[in-house]
Amino acid sequence: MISPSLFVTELLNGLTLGVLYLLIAAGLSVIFGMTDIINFAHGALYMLGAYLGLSVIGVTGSFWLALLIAPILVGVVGAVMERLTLHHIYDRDPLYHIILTFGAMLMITEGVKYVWGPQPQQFSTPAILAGTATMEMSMLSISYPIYKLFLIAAGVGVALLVWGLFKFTDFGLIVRAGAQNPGTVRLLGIDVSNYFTLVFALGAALAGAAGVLAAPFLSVSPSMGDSILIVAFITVVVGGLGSFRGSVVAAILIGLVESLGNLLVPELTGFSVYLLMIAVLLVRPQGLLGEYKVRQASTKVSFDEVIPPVRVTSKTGLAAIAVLMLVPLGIGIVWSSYYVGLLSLIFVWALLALSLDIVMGYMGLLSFGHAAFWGVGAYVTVLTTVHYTDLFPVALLLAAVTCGVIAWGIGALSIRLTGVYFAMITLAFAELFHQIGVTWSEVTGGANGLIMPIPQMFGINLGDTVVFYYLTLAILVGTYALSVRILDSPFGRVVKAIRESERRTASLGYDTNKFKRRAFALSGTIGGIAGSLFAGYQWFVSPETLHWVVSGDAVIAMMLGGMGTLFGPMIGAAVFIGISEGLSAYIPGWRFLLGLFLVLIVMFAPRGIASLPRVISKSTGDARSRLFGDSDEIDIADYEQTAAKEGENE
Amino acid sequence: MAEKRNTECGSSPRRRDVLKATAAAGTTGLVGVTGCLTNEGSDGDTVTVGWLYPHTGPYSGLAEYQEQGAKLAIEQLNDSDDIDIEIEGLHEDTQADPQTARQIARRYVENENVDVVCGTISSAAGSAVQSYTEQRNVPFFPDIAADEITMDSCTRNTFRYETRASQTATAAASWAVENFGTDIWVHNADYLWGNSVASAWKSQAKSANGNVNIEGETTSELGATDFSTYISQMSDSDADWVVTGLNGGDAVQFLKQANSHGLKDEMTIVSPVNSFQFIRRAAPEASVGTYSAVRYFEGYDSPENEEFVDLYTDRWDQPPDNFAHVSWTHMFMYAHAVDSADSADPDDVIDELPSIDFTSPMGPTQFRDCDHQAVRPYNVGEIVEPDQHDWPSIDVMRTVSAEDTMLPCEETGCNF
Amino acid sequence: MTILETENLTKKYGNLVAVDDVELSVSAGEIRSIIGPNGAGKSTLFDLITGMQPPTDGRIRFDGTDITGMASHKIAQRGMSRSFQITDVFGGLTALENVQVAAQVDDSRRSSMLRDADGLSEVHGKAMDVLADIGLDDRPHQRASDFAYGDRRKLEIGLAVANDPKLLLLDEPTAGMGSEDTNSTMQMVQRLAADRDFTVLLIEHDLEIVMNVSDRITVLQDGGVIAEGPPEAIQDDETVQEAYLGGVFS
Ligand SMILES: Nc1ncnc2c1ncn2[C@@H]1O[C@H](COP(=O)(O)OP(=O)(O)OP(=O)(O)O)[C@@H](O)[C@H]1O
Ligand SMILES: [Mg+2]
Repeated sequence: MISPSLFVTELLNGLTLGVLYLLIAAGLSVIFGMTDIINFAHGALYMLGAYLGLSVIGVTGSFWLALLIAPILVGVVGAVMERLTLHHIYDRDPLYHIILTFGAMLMITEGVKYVWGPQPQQFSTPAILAGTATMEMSMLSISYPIYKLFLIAAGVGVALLVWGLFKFTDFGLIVRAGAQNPGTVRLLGIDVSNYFTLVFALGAALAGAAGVLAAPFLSVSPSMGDSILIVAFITVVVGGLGSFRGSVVAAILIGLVESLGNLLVPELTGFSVYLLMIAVLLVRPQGLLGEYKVRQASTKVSFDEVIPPVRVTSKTGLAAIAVLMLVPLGIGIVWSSYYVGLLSLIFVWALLALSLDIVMGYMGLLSFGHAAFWGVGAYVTVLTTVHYTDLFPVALLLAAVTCGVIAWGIGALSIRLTGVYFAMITLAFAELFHQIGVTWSEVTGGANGLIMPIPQMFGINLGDTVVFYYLTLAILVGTYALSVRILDSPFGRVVKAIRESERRTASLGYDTNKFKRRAFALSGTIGGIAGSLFAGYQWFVSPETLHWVVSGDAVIAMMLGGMGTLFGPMIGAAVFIGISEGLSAYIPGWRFLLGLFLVLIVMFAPRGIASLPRVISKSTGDARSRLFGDSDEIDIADYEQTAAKEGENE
Repeated sequence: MAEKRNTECGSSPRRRDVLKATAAAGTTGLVGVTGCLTNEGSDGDTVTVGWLYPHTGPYSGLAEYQEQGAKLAIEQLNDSDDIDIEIEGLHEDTQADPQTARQIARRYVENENVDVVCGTISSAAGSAVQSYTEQRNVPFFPDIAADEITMDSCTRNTFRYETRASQTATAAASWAVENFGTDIWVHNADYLWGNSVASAWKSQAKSANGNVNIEGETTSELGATDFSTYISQMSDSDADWVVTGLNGGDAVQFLKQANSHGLKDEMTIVSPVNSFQFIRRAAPEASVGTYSAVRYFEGYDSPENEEFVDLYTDRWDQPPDNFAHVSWTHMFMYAHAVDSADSADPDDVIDELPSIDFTSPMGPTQFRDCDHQAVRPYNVGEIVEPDQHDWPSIDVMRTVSAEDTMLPCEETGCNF
Repeated sequence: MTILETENLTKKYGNLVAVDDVELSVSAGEIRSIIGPNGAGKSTLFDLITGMQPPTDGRIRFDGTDITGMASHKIAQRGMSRSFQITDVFGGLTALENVQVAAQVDDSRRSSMLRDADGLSEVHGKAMDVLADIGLDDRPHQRASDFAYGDRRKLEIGLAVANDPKLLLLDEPTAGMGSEDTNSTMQMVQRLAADRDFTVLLIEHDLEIVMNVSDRITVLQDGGVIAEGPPEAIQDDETVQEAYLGGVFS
């Protein structure tokens, strides 16, 4: 039986959360409305606000100064971030913008760890707001922390301020007009791009303010921005992208659903928000108050040049396979078996990066949810081998099929929403699976995960490092060859056409959603195979396999290597795992470097390592062969293939 | 952490810190005289220890002490004339991620040929490493308290000086029922250790008094930051006291928010771990007046502890916390076993370990043969206003002897 | 026979009526031009007919079936194809691949994953024919985005033709072209329509061309039809002259 007092208290709890979500989502929404960019660094800016607030208090001793200065500083950081990076690449596809902000997120997070340390910090409640306020009425007897009441009031105040700014000032007018149609505003003689910077600063400052406000009540830690970013994404999806009013309604709604849901249906703790999102997607995909129409520009991915995949049967392909086949012979002489194991881990990651490239590089769908396939693939494998059969191939097959079906389902729910929407929704779906992994402990083992028996196959011990190495190598080569074939098939042609222009493809008579679902299912299947092999490598699975970090790492690997080339992401995976194994032991903030790499790659070499030979040959001409002897092979192989293909056709 | 790491041997290929103290220094002369020694391959006298610390995530505040305790022990052992082995320590951050922990353990075993793996705090990372070390037959000393590790999923290679969650419950639950009342709220983080705490406290409380009534049970996610909704529910109930299966950052958050909601005025807060120095320091006002099982605290009154605290404070400029004493003790017990077996061969060491008698800062202890769980006494206390230090101190109110907290071997469910 | 018919077709954007109660009837084999000043609603009318935007009101019948509200790809499958005012070809694909994608849409193997796309010989043949028809068969393996503007415009038409339409909607196919290119492009359209036997609905600003190639002309203004008839009649229509032609022909 729920007492009225408890109900009211929980209502207040929900409002507190809602106000925080509102500040974050409003910033996200404001930035998106003007620039079409979904800022993945938004959670990190929120966190930065809390830390800067901590330092301002440390220096001045005043919470009020912190509440004023920290958001301004975060706004400056946002403006600098925009000026140095995004400002120069607005003409690029939005996919790059999102990846860039993801890189910025890694840099900010690691920067904060470096400056303030990885441990959570304590931020004390200002004395005047400490203690509880008590209210006694006939049926109600409530005592509630004064600070949280203040937080609700302050949050509402800030939101009103922003609303006023948009409604009543010239700045607001121009920004609103610019969001509608940047061209018209430009015609009026206003340099819109400066407004982009201002809007970015404003959004960042809002996140910073939320950070300071949250700090005395939530803990200040480098990871505090992660979960709130996902909630903010869900908020804008539920409220409707680009709609300030929508964000307000959705934020409060989500806060209430979280706290009241917790009280009324405790079984759904952690899920209620996702369920709300899925329900809204099904019933009103544009969001509760959203009018969002996918802008043509916000869905496109195009490349300056086509870098065809290296064929398995080409000289380079065969040579690479031959070299890899010989690697285990060096165990004990040149390297330890650990490194052979590490190579199989690289193969497994290469598969994941490859699967991502199929949807992102070839179809232009930005998936930030590939962790779902990686993790579900791993769980299905472990569960199958624990409960049903110790035959690893059966588990692998089951994992692949399950992930294919899940991908198809996610696609069916969200594929008609393209571009940035898809990025946010896939992220949220993957988090939903993560939540299941953590919560459904009777099946998944909860946070502790599950241990798997050493994998077997017809009497062969796959736990043996060398055997497992050859297994992963064979699957990788096979999958790669198959992917190359699929992308050259009639189906693959249509997939590429959708990347170039979905509208045009549809106008030719293709049900583009069907193709997108299928390609996503294909990608999910391969992702599931990767996850299954990962379980086979670890003999163990835990919810971390479903964490968004995996999705992010897959994006990084793909970008490092070169999107839209199939072989590039595999090289990227090797570099990524190499860096993380090599650097993580020496450099505590190695992820900062990863973030920096990612930003630099987006800025200067958007096709990653696969394009380096060309990038360098363009700038240094002949020096290419001297500098990049190795990568040059790829280059020559490409030319050979193009020539060969042309030969065939003529 | 970065700076501390950098003081280690810059030239060594991996982050090895074979730390040697000069013999000239006195008992507490370990300070600042660490030197470097590059040592390739292990002859019979050198053992390599692979440590795993969760420097990121909810346990990051605890991991610092864990690493300091381990390093102090290695320095002391390498300097000691009693124990004639050289210890080489590898120290890495698992980021509290079981996948990473397992991957590092794999590298430790397959590439660095470590003789023993130690550390981890979260039960998730711990059980990931436990199953791996079992498969590779490498001794493992986890610093985690979840029951299973030495119960249902015990393994022959696993030795634990750290408490078993149900042991602290045995020591504290009946006492809490006696002193605070029979209406109880149980809250825990939803993972192995948290669940162990919840079920152990419930069953211990019920067996202590037939009238015990569980007013309500709630669970939060590991790493949760907002406990308001649970606190509101507790506050609305008639519970006399609440026991929280929360640790690290979660425990700090809970205490702070409970304090701001005024929960302490309505009921007594009891915890298996809030006695940790890290928690007392992070939530000073909020923790005072709450009760906790005491696995260790810097003011504990014993000669061994005094010596340990002095050495530790000299070395690290702060007094030790629970995990410092656990990792320190693990390191010593392992070294004694290698020394007396005169071999670092896993099977020899594993056979030898249960016969090692050791007096830790908290008293005499020994690993049981049947489950490799350490036998040691436990305490319950109240967290009180600061005394010796800037942060709250502890009044020990009850000590339960080792025998009284140990589950009979038959009931552990452990078989290896 | 009437191939396309609309009944009080209307599209509103808020208060703006972009297409206002349009009744259109196009006979099979005809070349019909739609003219009108900028913003008259011509492109929007195309969007409605091809199903790319839902009408606010009204019905559309194509080839005997009511296609109102049908998804644009379904309408396309029934034999309606269009080109865009702003070039929208698959820039990253070669000219041949562009046309192949369009040409394979009717092939039963169009979503096969395991065949080689270049191995569908009928499709390949058909695509090469289209390239020959639009004069790009000398560079089939050049990336579309590497072509000059005029050639991209031709490819734009080639794409629309390659899936064998019954009705082809061309939205300013000569936009941005010089007069020489304009003429050759229009000749190409006429030739294609004759050879391949499809009906054409053409939006065009160059009135001289319109008068030359059209069988009939429909004039739009502010979303509504203000006149319709054969070129000569339109040329003489006073409303049109006043409202739109503004004395060009007088
Ligand atoms: N998506 C839209 N939202 C709001 N208004 C629109 C939209 N699309 C078109 N309009 C408006 O509808 C009217 C008709 O536009 P349309 O593009 O159909 O004209 P048009 O006759 O093709 O002009 P042009 O000769 O310049 O191509 C214009 O006023 C335009 O601004
Ligand atoms: Mg137009």
